[in-house]
Amino acid sequence: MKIVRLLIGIIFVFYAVSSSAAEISISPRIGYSPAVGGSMSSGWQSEELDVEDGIYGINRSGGGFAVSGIESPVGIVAGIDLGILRNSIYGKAGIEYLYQVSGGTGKTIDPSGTELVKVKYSQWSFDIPLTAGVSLLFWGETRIYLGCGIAFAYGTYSNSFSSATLDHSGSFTGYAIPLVAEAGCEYLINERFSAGCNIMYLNGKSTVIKDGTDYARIDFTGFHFTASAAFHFNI
Amino acid sequence: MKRIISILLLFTANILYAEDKFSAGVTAGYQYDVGMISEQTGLQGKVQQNISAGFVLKLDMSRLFLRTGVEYSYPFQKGKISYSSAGSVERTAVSFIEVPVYTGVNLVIRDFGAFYMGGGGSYIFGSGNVKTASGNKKINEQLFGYGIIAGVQSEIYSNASLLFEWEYMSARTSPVASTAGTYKDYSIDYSGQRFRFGIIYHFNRD
Repeated sequence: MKIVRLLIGIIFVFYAVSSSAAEISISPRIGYSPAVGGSMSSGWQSEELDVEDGIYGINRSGGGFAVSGIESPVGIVAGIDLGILRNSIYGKAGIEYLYQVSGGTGKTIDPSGTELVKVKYSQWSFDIPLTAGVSLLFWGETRIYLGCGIAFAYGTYSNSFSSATLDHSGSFTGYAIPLVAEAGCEYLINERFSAGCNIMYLNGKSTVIKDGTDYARIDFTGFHFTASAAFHFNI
Repeated sequence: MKRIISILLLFTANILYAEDKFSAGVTAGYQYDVGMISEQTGLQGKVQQNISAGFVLKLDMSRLFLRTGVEYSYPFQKGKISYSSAGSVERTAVSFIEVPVYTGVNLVIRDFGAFYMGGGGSYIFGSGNVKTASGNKKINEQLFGYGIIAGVQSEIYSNASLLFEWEYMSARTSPVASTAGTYKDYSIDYSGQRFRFGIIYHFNRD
């Protein structure tokens, strides 16, 4: 199924930009993702901590314990795209790196309510999105585009839990082929340069990955918001 | 504190160009699956849906915008859990006041209006309640969540525009209710997508 998705995506991009070419753009971009890694659930958390939904259900408080909230991770995103535009149709290939910079750590209570558990979630990933869609130019000065496609995403999700009686950590590395939707806008500063923003949504998880007795899926689903500066030239 | 400083820096950077257009208006909005019940393993039932009403304040600069305001979001359909293997939550009625703070690129489209897209976040002042087997638990939470916003303004008069806006933000409270044990373990998730429709008036427009 993943191969079929990949092939459909590649064919779509080639179809979109085939025939005599037009404008090429190279655009580095940087931004953030408000929520990284989805639920970050795993088999061990379900069995030993009685937490089915990972970070969504890990927070517990009470009993006089000095807990601290475990917030959804926020990540920074950096990437670069190569785009081809012709007759309002564009195709784009890029590479993005996502690195968690905050959230994902704190203290909670074990299921029996008798001890404090230190918790840490982290995830990094990179993805190679291939997208195509419609790009509309207004008055030769602004451009808005909307597209969809697929990506190859690869990354590592890690977790660790420690208390007086518990000590567990897991690391899961794998890939997925997420679906991608994006929207963006550009200000054309002159014929060669533009500045803009992009919102990209990825939706996809890896297959189940094992690490010792623990197992989990890496969730690449999430919104990425980036600001970009692009260089354009014709071929 | 870092969040507040970051937002203030963004504000300051924008205010340097404050001679540009200022707009204010009203919006009505909708959010599906407030509390993200559908995302929770072991819960089945009706998801909560909220409608909202609010004020928009927007500063449009030549190429940047600053968007803030205040909005009240109220459940027109409460979340009702018909089956749960994960605890004793029976109903959610999550309401909240949201103060969005966003900045980004503002694209003026001649003879149409504008398109904008940016980043930032929202302050949430949560209220409402969660009903569990042991009774109603009131929600009284304040938190901040990072988010993304995009919107379209379509001019209907020279100084007024229709506005359609999409926002995604992520924020979850500390536990507010107990579903099974002696501790609190049920958090309220304000994350999700909001859709807003409204009308705004442009002051000091040429």
